[in-house]
Amino acid sequence: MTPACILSVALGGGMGAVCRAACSHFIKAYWHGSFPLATFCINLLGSFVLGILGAWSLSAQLYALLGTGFLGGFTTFSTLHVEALNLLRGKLPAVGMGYLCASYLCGIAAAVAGLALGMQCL
Amino acid sequence: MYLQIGLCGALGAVSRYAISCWVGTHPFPLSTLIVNLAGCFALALVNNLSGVPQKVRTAVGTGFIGAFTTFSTFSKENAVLLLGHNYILLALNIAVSMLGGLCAAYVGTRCGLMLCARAKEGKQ
Repeated sequence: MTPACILSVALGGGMGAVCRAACSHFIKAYWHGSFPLATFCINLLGSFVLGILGAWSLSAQLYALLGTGFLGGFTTFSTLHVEALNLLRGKLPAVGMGYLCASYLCGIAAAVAGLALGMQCL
Repeated sequence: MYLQIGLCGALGAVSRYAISCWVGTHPFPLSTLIVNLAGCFALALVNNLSGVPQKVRTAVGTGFIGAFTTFSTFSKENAVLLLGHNYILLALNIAVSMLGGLCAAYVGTRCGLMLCARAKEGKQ
């Protein structure tokens, strides 16, 4: 936990959170369905890219900036569960359960695909 | 609003990093589970504090807590467990994260609503 790594995580995390807010704002302007598509897309994209980064042996500082910082700040676990809970407790429990299961399954598949692609592009 | 989200997000990411360094690496991805469950509780709590200005809730909820929790690391760790044939740890991580995340969000919601009700009683 060097000062350079802490600074990288802070910089990446701040940018990741801003990108998530902007992407979510953009997707919500076009998607008005009950399925939380914005968080779903953001989480899948982040899982895929982190898979690629995981396959490459990046320096600790670069991984702190891009992986732990940016992608960690870009994707979110808390919003996913709060959205799923609201759907489960509301009128759309099937959408909530589908959203949760699809996020988990597709997230793992995206990370595996990213790892495989990263290995290919080494 | 993006400036506040960015600043809070930087703090959230550093907090997650500090916890992951403190917990250390184990075969089971414990630090990600801890931050994710804590974040689910906190986000549900903050979302339900209707007395707090919306801007503050967005900065803390979308910025700090959003960046504090992480789905990408969760997915990558699950992918590594899957590819390493650690099926028991994978199933355990998925089950505890899914049920624990929902329970934490539920408890956070109840706590938030309770705090709001108490604050209203206090004012009257």
